[in-house]
Amino acid sequence: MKRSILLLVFLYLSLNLSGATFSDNPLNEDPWYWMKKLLLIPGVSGSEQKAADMIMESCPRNLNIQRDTMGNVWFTAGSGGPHLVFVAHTDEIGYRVKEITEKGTLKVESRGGFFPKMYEGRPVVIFTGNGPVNGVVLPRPGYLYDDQAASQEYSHNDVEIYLGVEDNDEVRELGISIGDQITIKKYITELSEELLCARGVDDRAGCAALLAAAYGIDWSSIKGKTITFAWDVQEEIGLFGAAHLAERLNADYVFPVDTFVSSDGPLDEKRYACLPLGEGMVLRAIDSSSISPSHELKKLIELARKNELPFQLGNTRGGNDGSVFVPEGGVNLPLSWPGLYSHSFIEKIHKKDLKTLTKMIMVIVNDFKPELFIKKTATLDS
Amino acid sequence: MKRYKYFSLIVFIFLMIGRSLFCENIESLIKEIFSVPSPTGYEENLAVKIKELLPAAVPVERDNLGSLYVYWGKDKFNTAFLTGMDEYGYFVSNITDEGYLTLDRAVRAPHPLFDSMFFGHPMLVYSEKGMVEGALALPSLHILSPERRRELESLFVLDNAYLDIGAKSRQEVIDRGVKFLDPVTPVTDITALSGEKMSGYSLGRKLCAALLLDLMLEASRQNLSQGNVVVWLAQSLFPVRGSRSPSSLGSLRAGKILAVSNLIFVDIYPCGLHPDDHVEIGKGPVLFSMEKIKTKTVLSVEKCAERASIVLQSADGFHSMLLPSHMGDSKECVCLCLPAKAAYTPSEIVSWNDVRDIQKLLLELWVGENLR
Repeated sequence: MKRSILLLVFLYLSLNLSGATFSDNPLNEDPWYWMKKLLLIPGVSGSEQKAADMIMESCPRNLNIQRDTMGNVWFTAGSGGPHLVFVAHTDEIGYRVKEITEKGTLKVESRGGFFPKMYEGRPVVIFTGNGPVNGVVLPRPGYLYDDQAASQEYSHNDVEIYLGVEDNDEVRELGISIGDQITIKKYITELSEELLCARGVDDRAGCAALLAAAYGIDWSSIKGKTITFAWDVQEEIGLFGAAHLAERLNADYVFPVDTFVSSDGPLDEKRYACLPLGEGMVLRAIDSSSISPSHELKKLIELARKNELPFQLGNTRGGNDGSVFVPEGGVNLPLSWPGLYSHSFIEKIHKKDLKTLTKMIMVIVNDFKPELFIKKTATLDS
Repeated sequence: MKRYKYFSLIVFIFLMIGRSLFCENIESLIKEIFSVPSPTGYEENLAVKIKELLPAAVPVERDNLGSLYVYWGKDKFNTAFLTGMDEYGYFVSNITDEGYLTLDRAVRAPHPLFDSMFFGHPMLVYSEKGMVEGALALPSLHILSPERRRELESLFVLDNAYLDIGAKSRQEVIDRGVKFLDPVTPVTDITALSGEKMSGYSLGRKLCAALLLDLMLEASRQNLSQGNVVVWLAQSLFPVRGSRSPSSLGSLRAGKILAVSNLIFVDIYPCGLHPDDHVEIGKGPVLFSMEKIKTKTVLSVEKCAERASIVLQSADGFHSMLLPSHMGDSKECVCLCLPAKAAYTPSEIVSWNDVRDIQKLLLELWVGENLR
């Protein structure tokens, strides 16, 4: 009896100490698994630390993960040749505390673009140095009796968070400070085994695709090129993290991995961007921030066809992290999944699209034939 | 073997004690009933839950609307305590060819922004095959034209409410067991706030139901001899037709059935009902009566509150739909209200202090002689 207990303890300890349960986890190459883990972590632009921490902890151990002062995280493998950079952003839209009022409520500053109206009457969480604190966004004054109030525009300045306390001293006792990040109280709505809705699919799905691909690639076989996987910060407020990386990484090609905003929802105009969910990843030809060069796009199309990866080609609105690499000389080729209800609490994604996207990343790393372009013309002196 | 039997017995007793303590606790009761959906006309699930939570020996009757009646005690039944079981919610009104569900309400929205607050919100459909998760669609921000952005407020209305359950066709919706008239409510849970407050969708009304459940359990536990009736009303948000003032169908029906002298309704008071409203949460229950003079029942409630050191708030310009406009000369009605901030939003806020005050006051009224 004693011997069997000792054996069990030994097995348990050896499994845990060796980390075998983690590194051998068959789910590591499943982007859906990583996305669901990442979705509930708060990471309003400028406060991405928790999400970045998790990505650093989750990356394969044999890779040299780095982090800069802004909070961007990346690893680089291979050497020489063209430099291919894949980038997803860890931040999400949300609020941060702008003011603590005398009556003990909070006024906020928006981080990223979204409808403030979505927050009216909703539960939120304020992430303080002492831990999370719950709050409620109060409905606009007069909503119960003033019909005019309902038709008026509701702006970020109207957002007022009630915590349950009576004055600003009590707010400070809760540990709340100016600048603390605020997210909606998050839920993951599983519409089916293959479809889910949640806040932060943009761009935790992209982060997850890179993580899963990082586990699926044999990094020791990368020859004659350099590959970087990066998870950057502050995309939603101006691509700031990506701009910092663009200066540093000297990319020849950049593949931003982010949502393709589809108009396939019931309230969207269908004139463009109408790509259905579940029909495969998206090669984003044109958006508000960049145009993928058609000859390079062709290479991706051929690669996808050769590897029998279902894909869709589309144009949409919104920007991407790759656009800030273009002035530095990089070729920008955004990779996406079609997403509905962008920048809401119910961003919708299909598992098949995320899986084909992840496979496409792996295919590009292994088989894409990059070219080296002239980035600077020779000066007269040289 | 003998030792094993003793052990099982001890575990059993422990579980029984635990169960009884658990059920007699208002915090636990609200957790039990909060997530049970009960849009007006769909109170059946909550009625079943309430019956489950009542002691097995307590006989429960029901009227043909679905309201539950518990007659307690051997005396003449003197006072009825009533509250609504129903909440504002939706039902499936149609299924589009693309597989979206359109929604409708059986009752008028409590305020003009009500429907707009659920756009972009996770929702639950209660189908015959079980719960189906969905989300109420909203337009994608990035691809909205500037013209449509300017008209955004007008987009968020019930006419534009499409519930996405992940289906691609009408047939797929049907295959998942969802059909016309299935009830729909928002996904919600109770959020604990600071200062002894909490919030949640329809939390106030669910607490009112829990308070009467708690009262009934207390009467049973203490084996109180006073004869009273407790009623959980179905269709209490549905207005009676042909009446000049908005009265609840459920409560009017109950009023006609009950042969008691006093009707004490328990409802929520929505704070901020008008510009001069001074009612606040955490400052005590609101006492409201239709009569201009203080009736015997009002005076009795005030006396009981004083005895229990409970401060009552008063409110002008409020009309609880639960309080019927005319109940006959022999019956006196009052409404004891739980103040709620952000009422009828996804995050209705109430104070535990008010809940406990009403809990105490109801028991005082049950055992007190004033109402007899």
